[in-house]
Amino acid sequence: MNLQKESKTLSSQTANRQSMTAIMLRRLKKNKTAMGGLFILTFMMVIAIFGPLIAPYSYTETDLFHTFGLPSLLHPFGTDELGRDIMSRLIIGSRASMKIGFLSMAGASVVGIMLGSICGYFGGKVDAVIMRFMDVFQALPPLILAIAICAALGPGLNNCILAIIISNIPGFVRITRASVLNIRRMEYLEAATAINCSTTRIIVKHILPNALSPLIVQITMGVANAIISASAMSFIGLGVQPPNPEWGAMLSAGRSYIRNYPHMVTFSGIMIMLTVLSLNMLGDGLRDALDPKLKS
Amino acid sequence: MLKENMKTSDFLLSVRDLKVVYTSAGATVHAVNGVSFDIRRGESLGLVGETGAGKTTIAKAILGILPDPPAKILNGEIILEDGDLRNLPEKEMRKVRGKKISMIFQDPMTALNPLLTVGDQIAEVVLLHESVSKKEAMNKAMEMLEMVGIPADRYADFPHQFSGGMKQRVVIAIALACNPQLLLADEPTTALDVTIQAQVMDMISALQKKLNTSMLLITHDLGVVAESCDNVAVIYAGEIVEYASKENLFLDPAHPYTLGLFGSLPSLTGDVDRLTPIPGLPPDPENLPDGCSFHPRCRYAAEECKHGSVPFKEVSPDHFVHCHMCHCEKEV
Amino acid sequence: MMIPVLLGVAFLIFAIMSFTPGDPAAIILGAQATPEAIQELREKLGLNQPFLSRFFYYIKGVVTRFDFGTSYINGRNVQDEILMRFGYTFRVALLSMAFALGFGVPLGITAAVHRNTWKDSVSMTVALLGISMPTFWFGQMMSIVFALKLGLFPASGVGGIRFYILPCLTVSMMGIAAMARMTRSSMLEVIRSDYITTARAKGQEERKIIYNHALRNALIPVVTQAGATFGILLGGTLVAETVFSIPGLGSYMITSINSRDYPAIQGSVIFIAAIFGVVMLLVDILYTVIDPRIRAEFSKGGK
Repeated sequence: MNLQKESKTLSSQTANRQSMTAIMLRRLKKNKTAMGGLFILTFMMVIAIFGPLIAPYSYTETDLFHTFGLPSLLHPFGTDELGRDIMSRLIIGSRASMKIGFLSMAGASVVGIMLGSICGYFGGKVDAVIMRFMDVFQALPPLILAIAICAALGPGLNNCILAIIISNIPGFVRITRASVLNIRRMEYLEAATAINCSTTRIIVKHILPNALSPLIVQITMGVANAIISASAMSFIGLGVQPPNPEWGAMLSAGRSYIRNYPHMVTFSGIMIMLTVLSLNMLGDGLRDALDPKLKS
Repeated sequence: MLKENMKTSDFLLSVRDLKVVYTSAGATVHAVNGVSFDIRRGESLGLVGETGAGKTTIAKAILGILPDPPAKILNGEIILEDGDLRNLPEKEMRKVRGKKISMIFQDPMTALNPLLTVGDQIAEVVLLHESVSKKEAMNKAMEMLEMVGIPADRYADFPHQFSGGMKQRVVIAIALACNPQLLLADEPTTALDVTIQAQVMDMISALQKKLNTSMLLITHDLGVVAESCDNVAVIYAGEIVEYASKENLFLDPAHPYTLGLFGSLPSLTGDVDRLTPIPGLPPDPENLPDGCSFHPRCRYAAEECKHGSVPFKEVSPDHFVHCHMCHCEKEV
Repeated sequence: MMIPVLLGVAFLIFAIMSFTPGDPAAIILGAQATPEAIQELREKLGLNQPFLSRFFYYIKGVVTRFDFGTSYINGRNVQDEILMRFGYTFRVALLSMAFALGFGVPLGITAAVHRNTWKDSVSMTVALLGISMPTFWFGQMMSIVFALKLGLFPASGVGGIRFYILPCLTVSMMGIAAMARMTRSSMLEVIRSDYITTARAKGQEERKIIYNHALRNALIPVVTQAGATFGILLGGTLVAETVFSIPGLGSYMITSINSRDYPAIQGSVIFIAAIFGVVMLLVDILYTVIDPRIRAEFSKGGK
């Protein structure tokens, strides 16, 4: 038997098995909705990052002669009750939303993953105690918990972020814990036969890909929900405080004038929706691409 | 097997030149590439091959439960008692499923609905095909439970309360409840412990003999074939490469692949240092080799094997092989 | 199981509220109060007691007398306000939940059964938009269109059924979307199962396969989602009350937050947690009804 030919056939077949991440990225790229979402999201992030440079007016610059202006060439989205340019305020407001969204998810995921790994890995009393705490936190609807925390700590952007972090931690704990338990169950058998020193390496090499997928999806959807929660809290008066612009706060401010000047509430809502929509589109695409069972 | 002049009514089931492909995301997988075989009444045919050779696809194609998309039957006739099943409208085909042809699946752990009692799941197939009252269907279900060795008072138990072997027996009870003429058994014992395997295979064979049911037994285990089948068809890359009675196949295997399969079995009698597996890997079904699909792994491969179609040769009466290199009496 | 969790929640809220800046006694008496008067009030309200005994006393009051304390601002009993108001909130939340189940689940089933057809695409696009729209903005848009421009429904207040239509439609939007998405993905998952293939091989008709086999199994994660959705809807109702000027628990809570009326905030939140807890308990009970495997564990372990 021709050994060279045999090894060539084998190696060409193994080369076809690309890395998992490459396959998943390819699947994601094919998903037009997800790519659309990514595009819009990038656009939003660019606006947020370069906000102060792009915005034509300062967000505090008032013009009391031109209040309640309808959309025009000078002010594409009109002016608000103090004559401030709505478009500029929307642009600067995106910074607040993005900040809250990403920072809160970063915080919640880090703490949640840590706690979840501890629960899953050690089990026993530690697991039981931590999960009881999580049960208590999850016994409240998340928005209400966030509102309660923010109410106690006082209004403001940072307290808002903290409140959202705390209300999102239980979700991450559960997901991580489930993944770790799942892998522990499987790897236990392999670990029994594997050489001792590679056990940890197996766990690290195998936990990460399996646990990472649901976490990535949770984070993406989490940013979307955080932005909605943040704007809801600002709407109530708890989040970002005036004169700092925030989409939810702008909606609240425009409420009194809704009858005659609906443009004040329309555009801020559209901005929220567009951002959240793009995140959800991307999140859906990620979930489909990362699902090992789904074969297109 | 495939003598063209034989009347198809001698057979219960005749499959002629079946071709099935799976298309997804632009790639086409050639799962079944021109398979033909016949099964007589009361006879059992073993379909032997590696995982991915197309065996389950053939069974599902016969029953008409291939998911379309992504599967598509490109070509072929599936003749049950003189009628081509492919021409039947779905409504008529449903009457065939479970009543004339039924199927046992590979994994008993997931084959039963976890929310329904086992008794109700057996009664369901009875109610579908026989015009009987609910009470009578329940009685029949209890009868079937007893027949497969499960006490009838477990009618109201749920699948999770049974072991794997017993779940598989419930599946068999469902399959045989309406006394089908043909049973498609897709690796019915692969997922079970070896000791339970023997029990379940014995039971299937006994019931088959008792009810005179024909059987298409899909397996990758030559031992199971030796115990339970009359004839054997060896499948490789979606094609039948050898077809013979059980005795002929075991005594006089002709195709290089079959020889390889036997060569890779451990022996109870002799002492062997190493097993001789077949070198190489099964071909990529998206990209089958030209000519004979087995030629890249075949030690006898010659130039003519690499291109063109491969003839069927008759090694001995009713023993056919799909190969250039076999020394045979005549071509068919 | 629920009792310790509720106690935990109460403790949590109590603890959170203890972070609030300022002296409650000083807030009640106002800026003109003398230090002696403040101290006197502190004694009277038991504010100088250690944390745990204050908590214990509070819980005792809640459980035995349904006494949530007195509002800092208007001196009324918190529990009276709660009882007066929660009816409105509850009605909106329940009705929205009914919409979410009644429209969302069938939408999800249709999308799953007609996968990759226009029915699927349209349903899922609507659902995607539904979970991306902030409730308070949607409410305002609905108000503008249906109340201001078209004059079909009242924009605010409570009264007959007409007053509930806009708020419920607004709040339920997110619920319908979430339930539709969850139902669809659960159905798709279940339809791929082996026991569905078994049912087909029996010769069962497609419609019965969907409703008798697939749907019942698909409902289990859907029920979980329903519990979480109710939480979202409760939150949405709170905000919607502001938009539609409904005198419910939500607007009470929000006014209390803005006026720093901490007993009111505390009482409302604990009450809402209790309601939510009852709902989650019902969800757990529903599980045992649907799934015999969980029923077995329940009777084995015992609670």
